Amino acid sequence: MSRATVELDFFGMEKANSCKSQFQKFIDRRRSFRGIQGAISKMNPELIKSVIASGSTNRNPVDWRKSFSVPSSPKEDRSTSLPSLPLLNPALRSIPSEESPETAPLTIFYNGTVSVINVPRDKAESIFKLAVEGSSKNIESVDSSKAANPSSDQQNLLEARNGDLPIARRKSLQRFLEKRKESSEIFSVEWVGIIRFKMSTSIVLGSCQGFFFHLWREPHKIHEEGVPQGNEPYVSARSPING
Amino acid sequence: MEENGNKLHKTMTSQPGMSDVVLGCVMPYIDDPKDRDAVSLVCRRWYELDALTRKHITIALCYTTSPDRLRRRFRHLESLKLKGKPRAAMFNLIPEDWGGYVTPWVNEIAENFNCLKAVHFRRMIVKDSDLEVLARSRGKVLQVLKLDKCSGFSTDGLLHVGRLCRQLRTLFLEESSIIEKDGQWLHELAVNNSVLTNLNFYMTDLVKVSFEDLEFIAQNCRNLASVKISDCEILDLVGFFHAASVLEEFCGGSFNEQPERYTAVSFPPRLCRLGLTYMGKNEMPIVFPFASLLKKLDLLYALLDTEDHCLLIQRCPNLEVLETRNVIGDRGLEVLARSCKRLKRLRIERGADEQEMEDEEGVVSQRGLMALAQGCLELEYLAVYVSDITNASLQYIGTYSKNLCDFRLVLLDREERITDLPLDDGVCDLLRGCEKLRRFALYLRPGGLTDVGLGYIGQYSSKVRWMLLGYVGESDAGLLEFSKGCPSLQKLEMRGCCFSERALAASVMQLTSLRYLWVQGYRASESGHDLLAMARPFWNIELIPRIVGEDPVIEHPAHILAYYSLAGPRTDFPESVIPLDPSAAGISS
Repeated sequence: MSRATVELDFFGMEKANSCKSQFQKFIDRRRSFRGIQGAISKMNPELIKSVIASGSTNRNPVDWRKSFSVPSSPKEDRSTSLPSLPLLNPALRSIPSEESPETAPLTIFYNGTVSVINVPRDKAESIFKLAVEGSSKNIESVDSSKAANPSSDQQNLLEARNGDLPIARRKSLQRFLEKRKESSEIFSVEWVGIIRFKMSTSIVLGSCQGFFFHLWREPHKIHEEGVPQGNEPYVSARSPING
Repeated sequence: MEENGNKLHKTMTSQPGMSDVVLGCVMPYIDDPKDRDAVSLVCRRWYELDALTRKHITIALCYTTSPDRLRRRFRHLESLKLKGKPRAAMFNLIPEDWGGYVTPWVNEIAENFNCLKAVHFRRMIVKDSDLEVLARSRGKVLQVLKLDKCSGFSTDGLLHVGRLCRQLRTLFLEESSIIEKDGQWLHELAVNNSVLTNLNFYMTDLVKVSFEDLEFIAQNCRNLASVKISDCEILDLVGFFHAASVLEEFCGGSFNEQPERYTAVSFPPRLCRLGLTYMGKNEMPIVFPFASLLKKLDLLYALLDTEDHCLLIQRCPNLEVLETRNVIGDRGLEVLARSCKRLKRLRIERGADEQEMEDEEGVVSQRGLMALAQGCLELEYLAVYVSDITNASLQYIGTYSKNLCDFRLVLLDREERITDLPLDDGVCDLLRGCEKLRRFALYLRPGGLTDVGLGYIGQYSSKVRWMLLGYVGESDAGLLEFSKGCPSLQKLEMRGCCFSERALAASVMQLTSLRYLWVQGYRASESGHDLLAMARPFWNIELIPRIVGEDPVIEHPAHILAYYSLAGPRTDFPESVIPLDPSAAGISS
C-alpha cells in the first residue's frame, strides 16, 4: 500500500468550478465518489491505525473534536483548510484483528464531520443510547428508515393510532414532500453507501438528521464544502426536479 | 311587505310590459346566487326573467342535475362551473375512476350553449376528445377555460385549445393530472394568442414546456397579469420577466444554480403575488427589494425554515394572503401578527412528519394562534394544522377575529398528550364570537370534543353552510343533538366518526338545509340497511365499500355519499361505487 497521504477534497472545500458544464460536473461528481473508493484502498493502514488509536483514547465518546474528524465549514469561517482525510476504508477491516477482539471501529457522521473511533461494544451501545435520547423519537438509522419506509401513499392509508384513520394529506403537498425526501435520500444513500462499504461497525446515527438537515437548510454550503454540484436531480438537493 | 306584494301583483297583471322593463334593468345587477335563487322563486315571470338573465351557474355536484335540464332553464348562460369528485379526492381518498365525466356536459355546451364564454371544471374527468369538441365548437368565443384538479387528458388535448381558442384570456390547469407528450401545446398558445391574461399550469409536473414559448407569450400578450408554471429554472426566465411588464402574479420555477447568480434576476415592477417553488434561504434575498409590495406569498413549496420565515415576513407589511407549511412555527406566527396587520387569508399546511425533514421549531400551537388572533384583526380565512391546542386560544379567535368567514383546524396526531382537551368551551366561544362564519372544519381525535361540544356546534353555527368534522363527539346522542341545529348547513363531511348508521340517517333527516353528505369511517351496520332510514325522493345514496388491499396491506374504510339530485341515480357507476337502492330488498356489500 502506498505510504503517501491521500488528500481528498471530500467536502469540496475548493469551490466548485462553476464554469464547468453540467455534464462535466456530473462526470466530476461521479469520479469523486469513485475516487474516494479508490483512494480509500490506497490509504496507509499505519496512518489509519494511528488515527484510530488517538481516537480511541477519547474518554468522552461524544467529544468530536478529539477524535479524528473533518470539520464542517461554519458560516463565518470558510477559509479553514481541510486536514487530509484518511477516511473509513476497507483497510480498517484488518485493524480490528490487530486490536483486542472486543472493539470495533465506530463511524459517526455529525453536522458535517466524520469521525472514526474504536470502541468496545458496551461503549458503542451507550453512545447509541445517548444519541437516541438526544434526538427526537423519530430517529432511525438510514438503513432501517430505508427499509421501513413505505411510500407516502401507503403512509396515508396505513391505519395509525388505535385503528384510527390517519390524517390524509393534500395531493400536491404530498408530491412535494415526496420529491424532497427522495432527493435527500438519494443524496444520503450515495454518501452512506460508500462510507459503510466494508465497515464492520458503522452507524449513521440520527445525528445524520443534523447533517442532512444541514443539507436542506444550507444546501449551497454543501456546494462549497461538499461534493461538486451539478444539475442532475439526485445531487441537487435544492431542486429535486430536473429543470 | 304584504301591501307591497299586492301592489306588485297588481302592477304585473295590469301592466306587464312596464314591470318587465323595470325588472330587466334591475336584474343584471343582481349577482349573488342566493339573491337570484330568491328572485326566481317569487313568481313564474320572475323565474323566467332570471333564467334569461342569469350569467353564471355553479353546480356543486355534477350529478345533482343533467346537461339537458341546465340547457332548458339557462339557455343564455355565459359562465358555468361544474364540480365532480367529492372534496376528499384532493386527499387521495376517492378512487380515480369514481366519476365526474365532463363529456355529456361538453356535448351539450357544443350544441346549445351559444353564449357560453367561461367554463370551469373542478375535480372532473376530462378526455382529449372533450377538449377537441369544446375547442372546435366554442373556440371562437371561449375566454376562460379552467381544468381545475382534473384528470384523464394529455397535452394532445391542449393542442386543440392552443390552436383554436384564440380569444382565451384565462387558461387554468392547476393541479391537474396531465399526461405529458410534449411542450407543443404551449407553443400553439404562444403563436395563436395575444390576449392571454392568466396562464396557470402550477403543480402539474409538466416539464417539457419551453421557456422560450413563455417568453414569446409574454411578448405577444401585453395584458399578461398572472403566470403560474411548473418547475422551470428561474435563470431561464430572465427574458420572460423582462417581457412581462404588467405581471402581477408569478408562481413556480426552481433554483438549480448557485445562489449568487439569482441576484441578476429582476422581477416585473408590479409583481405583488409571488410563490417561488424550491426557494431556499440563500435565494430568499432576491425577494427583499420588493417584499414590501407583496400582497400574496405562497411558501407551501419553498425550502425555508422558521427563521427564514421570520426574516421574510417581517419585510412584508402589506401582506394579505399567506400560504405556508407549519414550519413557520409559533415564532413565525408571532412575527406575522406584529408585521402584517392587513392579513386576510392564512393557510398553514402540514409539513413533513419526519423530524429530520423540517425545522424543529416548525410546529404551530396555541401560542401562535393567540398572537395571530390579537395581531391580525382583519383575518377572514384561517386554515391551520396544529400540534397542540387549548380552549383559550379558540376563545381568543372568537374574541378578536370578528371578520372570520372560514375557519379550519386540524389537530395533528404526533403528540400523545394535548395541553387542553376537550375543546368544548373553546369551540363554543369561537362559534359565538365569529358571527360571519360560513365554513367550518374541526378535525381532532377521540376525546377532542364531547357530545356537549358537538351540541354547541349545532347550536351556535347559524350561518355555517359547509362543515368538515373529524373525530368529534362521543356517541350517537352527540350527533343527534348537533343535527337539531345547523340551520344553514348544506354540505357536511365527516371522517372518523363513532356514530352508527342509524344515527347518521336520523341526523340527515333533521338537518333542514342539508343537500350533500360525505362520511368516511363510521360504525357500519351488518347489512347497511340502517342507512335506508334516510331514503327519500330525490336523495341519492352511494357507497364506496371498504377496501382491504393485500400488498401493501392497507385498509380504506367505507364511504357514504348522499346528495339531492333532480336527475335520479347515476348511470355511470364504476365498480368501486355502489348505489344504495331503497327499493331493493337486500343490499349487496
